[in-house]
Amino acid sequence: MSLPELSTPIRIYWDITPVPLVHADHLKIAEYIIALKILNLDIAVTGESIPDSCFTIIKKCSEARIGITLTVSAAFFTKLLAESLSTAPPKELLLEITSIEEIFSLDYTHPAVSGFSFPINENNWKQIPDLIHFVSEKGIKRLVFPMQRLYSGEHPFHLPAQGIVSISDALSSLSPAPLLQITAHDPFVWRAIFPNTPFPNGRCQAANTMLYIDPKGVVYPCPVMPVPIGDLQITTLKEIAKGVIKRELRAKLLKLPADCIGCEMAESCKGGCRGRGEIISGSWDGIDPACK
Amino acid sequence: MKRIQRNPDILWREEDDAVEEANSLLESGGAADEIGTAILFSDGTMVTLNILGTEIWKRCEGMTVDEIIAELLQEFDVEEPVLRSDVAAFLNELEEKRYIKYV
Ligand code: SF4
Repeated sequence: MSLPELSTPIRIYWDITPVPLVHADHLKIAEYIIALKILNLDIAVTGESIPDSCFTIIKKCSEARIGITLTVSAAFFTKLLAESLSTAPPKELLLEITSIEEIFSLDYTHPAVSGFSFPINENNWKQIPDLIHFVSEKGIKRLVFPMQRLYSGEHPFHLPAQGIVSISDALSSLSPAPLLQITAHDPFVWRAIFPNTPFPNGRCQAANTMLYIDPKGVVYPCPVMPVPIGDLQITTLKEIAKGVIKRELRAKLLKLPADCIGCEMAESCKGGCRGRGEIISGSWDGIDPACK
Repeated sequence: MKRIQRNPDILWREEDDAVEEANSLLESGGAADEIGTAILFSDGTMVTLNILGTEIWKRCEGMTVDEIIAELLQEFDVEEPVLRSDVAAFLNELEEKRYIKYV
């Protein structure tokens, strides 16, 4: 089943840096998010400290009944930070780690911590099964494999085909703890972890259920789709979310990429990750390289 | 009779444009069952409700089933037994999903 087409997104991913290169007005952006009746705001702080504005954003958005997921670098999680968050706690606090070894020096049992965010790359993807085994054993409730950030020209990563098989095999004997909730945004990572469960989002949700805001306030359909659709220094989030650029893009994403027509898997994968396909092929009709 | 309470972890919103569209269809005698007028979101899962579901969901905060039915009878042109069975089926589904509970 695919999710329906929405008039405005329900989820915003927003990366915040303590010292932005371009000063983005965080409080103004938070007001835009509230006005758009967003249901979940995923804030990722990419830096060594949390800017003060972040605490205000969490408080204001929580008061507006927006669910907040806050991701901070595990290396900078301290008791002091947990205390600062205690007056207006986010719904979820995730610690970002890039290797399983990082966990051992962490106070991950702190009650403020919900779980881990593990951005996958070519150096750490082989740790996915061990990580899932570990969090299952320890009773950790959340594990997120976040979307790659590509707005600065990074090269997109995807699991090699053999990797999908090896991860599935390594996990085949595991029954994940019932309380563990795993989020995998990449359809092929999902397939590796849950080979028998269809990808919950159906097709690419860029600019439909979600939008992404980079640290400068530039809006993208998704962090994996570096095609700007507006700038919050110039226009409001509502104008972007209801605007013609977004609608035209969505119309393109609703069509199967031409290169996928005739493939027997297309019905289930719906073109895979459309952002990755576009970056690699330079066209909305290109195949997601993870599929090859 | 027990009162209904929403699970506070369910995030939700009404879709203003869709509500307008559904209401104008109903006013002109058309069917609006297929239009999603509210979105419920929990643990990464999204559920859409049609106009009747939305009106029931909005009342799932301290009302009894009978009170909900009495209010909806004022709003919708529908026979009471039909409405009663629709409301019961919908509330059962919400309870199974743990979106509501009876207190
Ligand atoms: S581009 Fe589409 S498929 Fe790829 S991660 Fe973003 S929403 Fe998902």
